[in-house]
Amino acid sequence: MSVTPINATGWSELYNGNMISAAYTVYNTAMPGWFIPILFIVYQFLVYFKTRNITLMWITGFFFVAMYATAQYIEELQYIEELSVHIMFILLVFEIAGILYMWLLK
Amino acid sequence: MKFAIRLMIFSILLNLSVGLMQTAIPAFKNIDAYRGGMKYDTTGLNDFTNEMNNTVSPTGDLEDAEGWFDRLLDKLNLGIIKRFLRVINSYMWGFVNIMQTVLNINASLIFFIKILISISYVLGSLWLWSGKDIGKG
Repeated sequence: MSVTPINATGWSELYNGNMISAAYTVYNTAMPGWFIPILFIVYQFLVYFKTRNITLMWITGFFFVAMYATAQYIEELQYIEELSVHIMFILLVFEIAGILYMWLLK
Repeated sequence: MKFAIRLMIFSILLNLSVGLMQTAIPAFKNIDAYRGGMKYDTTGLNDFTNEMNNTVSPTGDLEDAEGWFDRLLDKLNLGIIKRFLRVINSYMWGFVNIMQTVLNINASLIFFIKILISISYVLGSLWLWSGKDIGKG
């Protein structure tokens, strides 16, 4: 009786004990290249509706994107859509511009 | 008028924010599209420094004895303003240009946004210069 090979997505990462990489692989395969930005946008909306605090949105979004940018191992594992990076960038730019505007003029 | 001033300030702040985000997050620093076609010590900066340092050479007849000095001053001022506007074009529409490059937005929409921002810049600068609120008539 032979052992059937396991082809589940993200299994090899899970088998190596990398749980975050495994979850990332699973979700990024389901939403090819868009997992990080979807997580980012959903998180931003959650923070907005919960707190209505744009400064908090920007600070946490900034941390999120900065951490993503430093997590080089993710890029080695999976690709990310170029456009999704642009969307995150534009969102953050609008937020910081809004913060500066309110800081200067309100 | 208030809206025009606010639009002008927000547009300037957007351009500033692009620079802030590029400086803050290293991943954004390496994306060429966010530089709006400008690079350090090349075209963008050279336009701003070399172009403004050039001498203005007025064209036309200045030998008219009457009011030649005023006319010369007018021509010099106009030359400098024209040069300054040509240089500032790439600076004041920075974020709009980035959006067009990155998101492939329709050219006519971009043109409309540029016109809107230009009007706000002109109204705002006139207001700052003369203190006259054009919107109130």
